[in-house]
Amino acid sequence: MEQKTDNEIVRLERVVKRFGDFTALRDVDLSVQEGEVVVIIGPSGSGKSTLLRTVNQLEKHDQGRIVVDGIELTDDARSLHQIRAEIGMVFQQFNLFPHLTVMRNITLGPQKVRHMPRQQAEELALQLLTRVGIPEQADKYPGQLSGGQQQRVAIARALAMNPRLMMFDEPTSALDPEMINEVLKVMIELAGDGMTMLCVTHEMGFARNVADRIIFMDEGEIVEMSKPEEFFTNPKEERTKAFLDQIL
Amino acid sequence: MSAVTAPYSPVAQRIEWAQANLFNSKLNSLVSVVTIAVGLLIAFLVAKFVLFDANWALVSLNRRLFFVGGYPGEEVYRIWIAVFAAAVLASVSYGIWVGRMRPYVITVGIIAVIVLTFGLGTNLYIEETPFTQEITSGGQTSTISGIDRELVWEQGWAPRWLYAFSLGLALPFGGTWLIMAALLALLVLGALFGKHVLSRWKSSPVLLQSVGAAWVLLVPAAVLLQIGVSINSWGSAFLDILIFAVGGFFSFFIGLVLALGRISPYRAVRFVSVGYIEVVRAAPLLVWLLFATFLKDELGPLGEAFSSISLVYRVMIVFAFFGGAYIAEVIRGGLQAIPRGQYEASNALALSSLQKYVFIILPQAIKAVIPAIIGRFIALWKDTALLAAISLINTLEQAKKILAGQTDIADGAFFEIYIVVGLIYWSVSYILSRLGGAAEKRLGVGERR
Ligand SMILES: Nc1ncnc2c1ncn2[C@@H]1O[C@H](COP(=O)(O)OP(=O)(O)OP(=O)(O)O)[C@@H](O)[C@H]1O
Ligand SMILES: [Mg+2]
Repeated sequence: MEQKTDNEIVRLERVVKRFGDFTALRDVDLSVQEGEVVVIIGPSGSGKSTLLRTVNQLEKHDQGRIVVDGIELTDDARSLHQIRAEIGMVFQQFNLFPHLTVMRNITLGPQKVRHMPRQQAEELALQLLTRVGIPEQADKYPGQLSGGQQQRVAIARALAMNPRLMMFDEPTSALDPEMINEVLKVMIELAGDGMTMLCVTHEMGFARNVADRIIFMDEGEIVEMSKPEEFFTNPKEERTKAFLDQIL
Repeated sequence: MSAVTAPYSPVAQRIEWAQANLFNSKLNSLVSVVTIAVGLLIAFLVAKFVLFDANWALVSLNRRLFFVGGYPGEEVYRIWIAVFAAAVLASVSYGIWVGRMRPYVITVGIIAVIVLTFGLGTNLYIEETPFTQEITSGGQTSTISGIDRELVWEQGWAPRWLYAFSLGLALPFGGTWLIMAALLALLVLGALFGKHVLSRWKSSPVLLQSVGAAWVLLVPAAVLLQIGVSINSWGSAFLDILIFAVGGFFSFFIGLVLALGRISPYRAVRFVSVGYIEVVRAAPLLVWLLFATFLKDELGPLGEAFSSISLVYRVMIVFAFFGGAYIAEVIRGGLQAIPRGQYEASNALALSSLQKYVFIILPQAIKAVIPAIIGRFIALWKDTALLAAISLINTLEQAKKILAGQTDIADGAFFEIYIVVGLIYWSVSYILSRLGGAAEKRLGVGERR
């Protein structure tokens, strides 16, 4: 087996995922370097979510190799646990824990998984809430917050695990238009701070300005992968062109 | 009709409210008038019966049997200790986490007035005088001796008709009214202490843990305390409550395990859980109780062990396992209502399976089905009425015994006796239902979903 290159955070090799007879991912290869922001776009049903979800094994892949931050995913449950602890994930529907306060939502992971003392976890949570701009909401319940605020809590919750990689699956798609920017702003700052990010999004402005690389997926394959500038002005594949024509 | 609730205070506001909600149309006014009239009539008939027509003497005389059955008098202090421990825990917890003092104090106050006023006011006892009588028939003279029983009222300062307010229960299970007064005072003081002193640390895990630990330690201790008394003397409401409390407590955890078993990734575990639930639910509780009563030693070592323990314990086990099958189905319903996103978010946070269920899934699942769980507990509590069928002396059986033993002074007071039986079932059910309401409110703080 080859060595991982120095700052590689994610490596997928010929990953295949099937749902019954349907193949959602076909031989996907992907490598993400530390500090890189990679944006994945593509039509509905092309396998974008599935790709993210196999990386942290919310979906078990059928074939291929997955390495995250040097940890190879094996049948050993420990490697799965380690990999998940290294990855923060933000969902389209937020998936906050409705029965816990914002504070508890954020401190749960660090306390239970990282064994951080309660007080330290709460300090960290407040720090992160300040970072996402809502320190005053700590004692509320998710149901009492707006969508944009909830999504920012979800980002803080993921960051509290001090992840090496953040994955976003259409984080702004469930939001009212006026709230999209407050979430994007947090993501842009995060990218500026050097966080490694893997984002599925329909926000082309974000993709153009923040991404280091853009991946276009269709029918379970990575069709095209290039720098934003080139991707938007000079796409090589026909399918990419057709897709861009449709959305731009 | 609109769902506006009646405001408290000013009378004018209430009249306004009544106008707006009860008399806002011709039809509505008619319905209101008829409803109020029927309600008043029923209230009048009930009051007339309770105060004037009913004969509470038998209830009053046997109040101790009603509450603790044949429990020996010199051991009753054990029950008092248990009651006091429960009162401290319950009132302090109420003060900390519910804290609505007005309805609480009013309720305790009403009980206090009933118990203390009439406990002090009146004394009732049976006077037994031996007699001999000579009977002459057919030239032969024989002597019959026996005991003449007469009911004696010793009138205190409370008039006899007022005494009826307490349904003759003035001094429950033979304790003195001083003990009752202390208990009632404790209920109020405990709640006040919880609300005004302890609730400041409501969100602190230390307080939660200490109160939790107190419950976990004291309640079993209170139950174990009773074991010092021969189990054969357990009876009536005391027996029912104990069987229900122990059986119900374990039924919850058995239900939890079975519910999780049903969604286990292991097929064998799923199979066993489903099979268990289906088999247990398929027969009525009475049949299981009869199995437990007549189980033969021949059923191998397990049957031998089971039949060697006292019937009361066997019944507790049956209650736990029977109730568990139903609780399992209820919790399963709650688990099904949890969106997949909650599992995914927990997994993405790298929580272990155990952590995921303990901190995320189960609290939400159980909260969603609290009303149904309380419903199952109430049903299980009322199922203690079945114990009469397997020769345990439950409240119902005790009532029958009282009537059978004292027909000479019962004077046809059957209805009165069964009213009290009903009230005993009703009060525990009512407490359970309030408990459920409080738990729901408490767990639902600030949620909008
Ligand atoms: N659990 C599942 N069972 C069966 N099929 C699935 C499952 N999850 C996803 N699929 C299928 O896999 C394909 C890829 O789905 P995926 O959610 O990855 O698409 P996507 O690119 O994220 O689309 P969208 O933009 O609509 O979110 C779709 O055709 C979908 O129907
Ligand atoms: Mg998707």
